[in-house]
Amino acid sequence: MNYDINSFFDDLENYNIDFVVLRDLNNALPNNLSEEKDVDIMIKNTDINKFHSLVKKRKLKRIKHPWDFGRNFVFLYNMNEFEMYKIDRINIDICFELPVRSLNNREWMPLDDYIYQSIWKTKKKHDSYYILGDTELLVHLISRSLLDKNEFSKIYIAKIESLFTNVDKDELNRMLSLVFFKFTNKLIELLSKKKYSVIYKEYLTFSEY
Amino acid sequence: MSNPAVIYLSDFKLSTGENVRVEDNIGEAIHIHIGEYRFDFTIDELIELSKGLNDALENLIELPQFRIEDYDSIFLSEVGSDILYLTDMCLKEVRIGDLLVRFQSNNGFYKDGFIDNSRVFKYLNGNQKEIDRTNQENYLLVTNETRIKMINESIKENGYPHNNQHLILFNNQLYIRDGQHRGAVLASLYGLDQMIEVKFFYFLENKGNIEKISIYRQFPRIVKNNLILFLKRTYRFSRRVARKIL
Repeated sequence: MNYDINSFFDDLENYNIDFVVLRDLNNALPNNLSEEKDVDIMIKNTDINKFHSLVKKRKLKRIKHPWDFGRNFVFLYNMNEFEMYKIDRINIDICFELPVRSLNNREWMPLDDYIYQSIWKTKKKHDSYYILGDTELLVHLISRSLLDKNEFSKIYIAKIESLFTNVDKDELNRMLSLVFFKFTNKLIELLSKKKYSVIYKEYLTFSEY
Repeated sequence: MSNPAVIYLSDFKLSTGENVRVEDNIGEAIHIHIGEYRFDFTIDELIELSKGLNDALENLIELPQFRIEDYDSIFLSEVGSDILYLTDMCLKEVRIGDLLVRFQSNNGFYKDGFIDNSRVFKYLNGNQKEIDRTNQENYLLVTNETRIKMINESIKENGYPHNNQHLILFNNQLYIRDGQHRGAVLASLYGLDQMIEVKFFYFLENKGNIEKISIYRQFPRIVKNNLILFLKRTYRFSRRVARKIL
C-alpha cells in the first residue's frame, strides 16, 4: 500500500506524537494536495525522538530544506531546525516550535512559550489530523504576516477576518502582547478597521514606548 | 520570549574594550548594552540622551565653526574618538575626478582608485552589476540601488551642498571620508572636470590618514574569512550526515 499523507498522520497518532497542521488555508488536505504546495506541520518538541524513530522505521526520505542556505537557516534560543520530508511526492515541512522570523537578521525564533503550550491544549481534531485553535491560529497568521511576509496577503486576510470576530479578545490581546508588546492595542485597532495595507509601516514606525 | 522585532541601531567597541550595542526592540524599549549591563530607555529618553551627547561632543571640540548638525551621525560615529583631535577645518575647491575612494571588490580585497573607479560611479554609468540589491546596513529597508536613486534625486532637486553638508576629506588626502555616494553622483551628473567645494578636516599629527594597503597584506584576512565560511559549511554538512547515520 502506498504510504501517503494520511498514513503519515495515522503513524503520528499511533506513535503518540503530538502534532498540528499549521495552516491549510486552501483546504487542500488531505486529498487535494499538489506538488507545488508544502504541508506545514508542527510536532511538539518533547516528541522529537519519537518522531525520528518513526522516520527511521518508515525510512522517510529527508530532503534539503529550501531555506537551508545563508542566514535563512539560523535558529535562535535553542530552537530546533526545520526538517523537510518527501512523502508520496508531497513536501512535508516540519517544525518543532511555532516559528517567527526576526526583523533584523531574518533568523528564526520561537514564539513565546505561553502561546506554544496553549497550542497543545486547544488543538482541534479535523479529519485525520489536528489543527490550531482559533486564537492560536490568528496569532500565528498575524505574526507570520508582519514578521515573515511583511504584508497581509488576500488569503491570510480572509482567514484572519473569519477568526477575528469570534475569538476571546482578552486572550488574543494577551498572546499578541507577548509578540508585539505595546504595539498590540494599535495592531488590534488596525485589524478591526481592516487597514491591512498600513499595518507593517505602522509597526516599523511605532514610537509610543 | 525575546522580541522578534529587534533592530540593531549601533554595534561597536569602546576603547576600554567593552562591547556596546544599541537596539530598538519595537513596542518594548530601546536597549543599550554596555559590557554586562543593559540600560532600558523609551524613545523620548534616547533622543534626550542623544541631544546631551551631541552637546557634550560639540563642547569638547575646540572649533567654534564645528556644528554637529552639519554632519552625518554615522560618519561621526565612524570617526570615533579621533574627532577630539580635530584642529581645523576649511572649505576648498577640488576637481571631482581627483577624488579618491577605497572600495571593496567582489572578491573581498580593498582597493584604492579615483572616483570613476568606484562601484557607484560605474553603476550610474550603465554597469548594473556593480551594485547589488541588498539592503543598506545603516538604512532600514533601503537597498543600495534605492539609496543611490534617492541621492541622485536629492542632488538634482536641492543641489550640492545641501544643508551645509559637504563631502569630507581628511588632512591633505583626497580620499572621500564621507560622501562617496554623493561624490559618484556628482561625477556622473557634472563630469570629472567639474570643480566642487569640499570640507577638509585637519587632525593633530595627521590622525585618521588612510595608509596605502597592499594586496599581499590583505591575504590573511581573505583566507581567514573564506576559511571560516568553509568550516561553517563543513560543520553543517557533517551534522546532516551524522543525523542520517544515527
